[in-house]
Amino acid sequence: MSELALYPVGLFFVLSSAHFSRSRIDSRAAARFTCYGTALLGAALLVLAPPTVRAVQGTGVALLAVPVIVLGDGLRDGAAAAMRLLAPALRAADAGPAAGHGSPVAEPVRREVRGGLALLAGVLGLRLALITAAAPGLAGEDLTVGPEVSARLALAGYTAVGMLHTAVCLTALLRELARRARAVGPGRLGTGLRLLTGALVAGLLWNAWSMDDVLRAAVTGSQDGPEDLLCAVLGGLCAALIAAGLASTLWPAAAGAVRGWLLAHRRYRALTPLWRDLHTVLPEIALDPARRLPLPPRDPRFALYRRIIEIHDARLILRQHLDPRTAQWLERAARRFPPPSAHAAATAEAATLAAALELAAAGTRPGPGPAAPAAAPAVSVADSTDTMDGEADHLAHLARVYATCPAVAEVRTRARAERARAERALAERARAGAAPL
Amino acid sequence: MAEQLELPRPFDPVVLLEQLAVRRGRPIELLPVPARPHAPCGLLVSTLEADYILYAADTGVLHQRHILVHEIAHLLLDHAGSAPLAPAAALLPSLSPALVQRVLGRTGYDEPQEREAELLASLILSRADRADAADRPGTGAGTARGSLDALGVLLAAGPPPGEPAREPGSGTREPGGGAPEGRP
Repeated sequence: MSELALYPVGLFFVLSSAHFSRSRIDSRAAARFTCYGTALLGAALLVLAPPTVRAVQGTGVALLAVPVIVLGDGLRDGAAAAMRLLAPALRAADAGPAAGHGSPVAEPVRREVRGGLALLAGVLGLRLALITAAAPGLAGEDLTVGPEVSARLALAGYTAVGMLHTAVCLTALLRELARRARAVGPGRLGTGLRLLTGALVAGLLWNAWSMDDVLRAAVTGSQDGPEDLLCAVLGGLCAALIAAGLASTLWPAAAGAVRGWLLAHRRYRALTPLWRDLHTVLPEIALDPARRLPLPPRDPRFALYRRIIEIHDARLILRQHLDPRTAQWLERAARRFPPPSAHAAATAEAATLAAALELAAAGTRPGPGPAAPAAAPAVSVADSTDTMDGEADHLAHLARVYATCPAVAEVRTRARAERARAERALAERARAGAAPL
Repeated sequence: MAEQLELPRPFDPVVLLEQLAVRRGRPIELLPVPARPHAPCGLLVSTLEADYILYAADTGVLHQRHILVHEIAHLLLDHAGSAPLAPAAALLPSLSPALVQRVLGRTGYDEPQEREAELLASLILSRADRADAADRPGTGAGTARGSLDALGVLLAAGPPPGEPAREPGSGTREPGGGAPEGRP
């Protein structure tokens, strides 16, 4: 089972590479080297995983197993070289667009890239020569050479050259990332860069583990062929640190999304008492009449928007039920339960709505009173805002006052009593009208 | 449709209306009116030559905007008129009933056309609200919106453009003095 551990790590790097290839990183060279580095490393891990090597051995052409291991090592050398070349590419990007062809910044960078590629070619050539000289075979999962000292030294040299090259390359990128982390200082970007730096340190440890193979090859003439479990663990740690580093810049967006969801949900719930009363009397305001379950909405922002609009629609409908006596009832109620001055406007609006709702529930409209305006506004247009958040906060304040203010409750009770009296009078009139029949 | 529609940024229903009028090759006139009892709070009246959108002007700004976009949604969905002419005739006394080709009024959602227009208006305005919120200053700066941006943000973080590379240990910058976080 543990032998399969390299596959997810390898796949992580291969998929990351495919993902990064679509990146809009300013520096195309940096994007390219990042892609190459992750792709080659992922491919190397998939090739060097013990089950892959065993599968090649099982094909009946056992001789192929050694070239496959050499191929995996070569891919890893390529990955290391790409990572090394990422460092000058980043420095060139720092110099800005001026670092184009012919600029004084671009030339040393190009020289460094050419040097890196030449070094890679030299390392690959040398390793190929050494492994050819060693002529190893695969005994179990170990690369094994004959008893000659030259063969043992060639095998040890093959591994040592790869290890040194990788160490040089990773150290170059490590220095560059550490420099950038220091320049950025504390904060999430600094944290992200430090995590990437940590990934490179894990990579160096992973690489240093090859020293064991160098010593074994020199002393016993054999070494691990494919990658072992410790390599998988260090590779996994490296991948995890890279993922964590990248995620560090996503935290604010993720936290903002969660905060926005919670805020929208809280506002949505804050409007519930007012909306529920309005909807009970005026069910036609709801666009989605089927929504009755007390479950949180899947998209609270959309649900909040609908709730705001439906409350406004109800307020417009209730205008025909405004009772001109509400102002008097409120004046008396406010003498008994004076509302805080900060809530005065909301209290007047909530009391007007509460009284109008009672009339609307009875299906009656007030007669023209002594001071009845033709269409008293139940909406304080001056208080309204053009943003959804502002409107939600305004209505949430209104809903809170509507549900908790004692003066509003008293107006509601008074309107309810008036409504009962009106209903009784209607019933009596109906009885009186029906009596002759 | 709400996701494909090109919305003005920042969102302005009047700009959207102008764009629609140009696209349709017909003028669309906006007529703010006071809300009346038992009358729709928004009306779309189409004649041979123009479309008229009447909307309640004595309600909240957000609500006015919604009513307006509801009527725009009828135009986008190319709904046929089904509302009675009477409310429109009361609000547009100079309009000859013979010229009127369609009337749609925002009252309830029993009519499928009204439900569709209301849903589309809600989706359009929710999307506009999200876009406007994202464009507001102070939101999203230095914040990657996905892992692709994340790599760019991280790799671009460092000394500002033009600053010569320094060797490790050659000095440090004050916290927060690095490159702007949103540079990519």
